Amino acid sequence: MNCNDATRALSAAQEQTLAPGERTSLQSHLAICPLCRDFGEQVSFLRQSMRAYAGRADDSPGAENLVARPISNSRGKKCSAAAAAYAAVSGE
Amino acid sequence: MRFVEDLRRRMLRFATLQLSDIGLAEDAVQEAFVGALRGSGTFAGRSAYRSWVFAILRHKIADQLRAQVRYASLPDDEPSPDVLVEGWFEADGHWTETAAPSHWGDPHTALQDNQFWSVFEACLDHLPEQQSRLFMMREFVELDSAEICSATGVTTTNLNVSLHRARLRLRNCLEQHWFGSEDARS
Repeated sequence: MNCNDATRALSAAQEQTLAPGERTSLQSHLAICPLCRDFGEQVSFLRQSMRAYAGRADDSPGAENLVARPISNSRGKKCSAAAAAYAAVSGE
Repeated sequence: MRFVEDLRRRMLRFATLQLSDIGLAEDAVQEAFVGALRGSGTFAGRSAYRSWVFAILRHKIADQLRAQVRYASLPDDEPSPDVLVEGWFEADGHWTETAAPSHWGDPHTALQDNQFWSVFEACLDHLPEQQSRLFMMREFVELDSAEICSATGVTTTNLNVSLHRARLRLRNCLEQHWFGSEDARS
């Protein structure tokens, strides 16, 4: 199993229990790959932060912060209306 | 009232994205406002109200998506190649040097920081549309994989591909704009 496969398996493990063989391969890879261990922790954190995001009661600071810390869209893909709509949820 | 108009517009955009039907989306938003009215007088300010009304909308959308079987389905095309994400791995499947994750320490402290949430939202905002729709269904509306596949007609395999890519993109974006920056680590 390489890193690409391992990230795929770590993402899939958020959705369903991995088959025993895949789980074993993943564990073997993680034992030797700190990068994918970090990825695994970050995927768990993403879920926790989405839960916190859905439930949070604080006001978002607003668009001026986004201007201060601009995020470039790497390949120039258009913002999806979907995500834009969602981002708008907690204030822009 | 400007605040309510803005809120309604945002809710409608989100509901339309999720339900792919403007009529259903309008109904869900309307019901969420009516539901929130029943609890009025108990909100400590606008943010609490907004959270509450969105929580109701989330439940309405979840119910609607569970009830509809491929009603609002997208064609289950093979997800188009995501060249950005593909570029983060070498041909042999290992991380490229620039895309390899770094250690975030304890990221949970960021959850208390309003600026972090601005970055978080901006990162969500930059997901490609199909990834965003499916990721939000999974992680925000909190449908499980089977429910999402049933509601959208997307296969489990393609759902997993989209979720994997969305997670890679979000992770990368948060690292670039929050966890990798000096001020966030201090």
